[in-house]
Amino acid sequence: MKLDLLTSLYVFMLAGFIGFEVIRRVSPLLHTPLMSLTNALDAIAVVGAIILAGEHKTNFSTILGTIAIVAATSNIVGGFLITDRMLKMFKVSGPKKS
Amino acid sequence: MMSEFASTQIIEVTYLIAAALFIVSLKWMSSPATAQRGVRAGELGMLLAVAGTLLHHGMDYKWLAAALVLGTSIGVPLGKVAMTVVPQRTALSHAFGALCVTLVRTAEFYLRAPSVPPFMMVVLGMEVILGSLAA
Repeated sequence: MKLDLLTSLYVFMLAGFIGFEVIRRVSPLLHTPLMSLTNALDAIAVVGAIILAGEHKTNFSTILGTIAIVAATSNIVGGFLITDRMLKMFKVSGPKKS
Repeated sequence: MMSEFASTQIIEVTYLIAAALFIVSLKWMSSPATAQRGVRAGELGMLLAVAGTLLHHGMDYKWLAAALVLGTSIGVPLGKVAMTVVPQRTALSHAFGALCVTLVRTAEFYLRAPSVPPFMMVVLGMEVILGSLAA
């Protein structure tokens, strides 16, 4: 998929607004899990790393890509695990709203 | 040829669904009642994105498998640290994320080195500078 510069800028702008609106009214109680979850989602950069390492164009790029995958995967796994654990703690003592 | 076209379409649609899942994931995260669901949506989106990427043609799976296994084995202990050190852990994890972006962008610059379009040069430069600062 080829995007020209203007389309990319539109996507960037809309994504900025979505991000702002989605985050705006988070209850302060949930800031820590939110940071943790954002951190896990941030690791979506693993997609670029996988393509980079998978293409195997040069040894240098493959090595960089492999290190990048290791870093990002540890973020994904660790981030989701710890967010889940935090929320389990909320279940016990948190507000009952279900 | 046709199948390659079809699989490209599938990958694009997978990415689209993953992006939508990330948005609702963050949205659900804003209230304690739906937060758990938000994590599930994020996990599903990440799974879709990674699976879609692995479908690309002509991938060399040897390095990918090694890196994914190693990353998982680092990530599991990082997910089980004591609750009192969570802020430090998140900071470290942010550094990992920044490291990943920096490395990917450095390699991309290296691969395209003689002919990088000016706009892309600006983007790559900013990402590498901010990424390595954060790391």
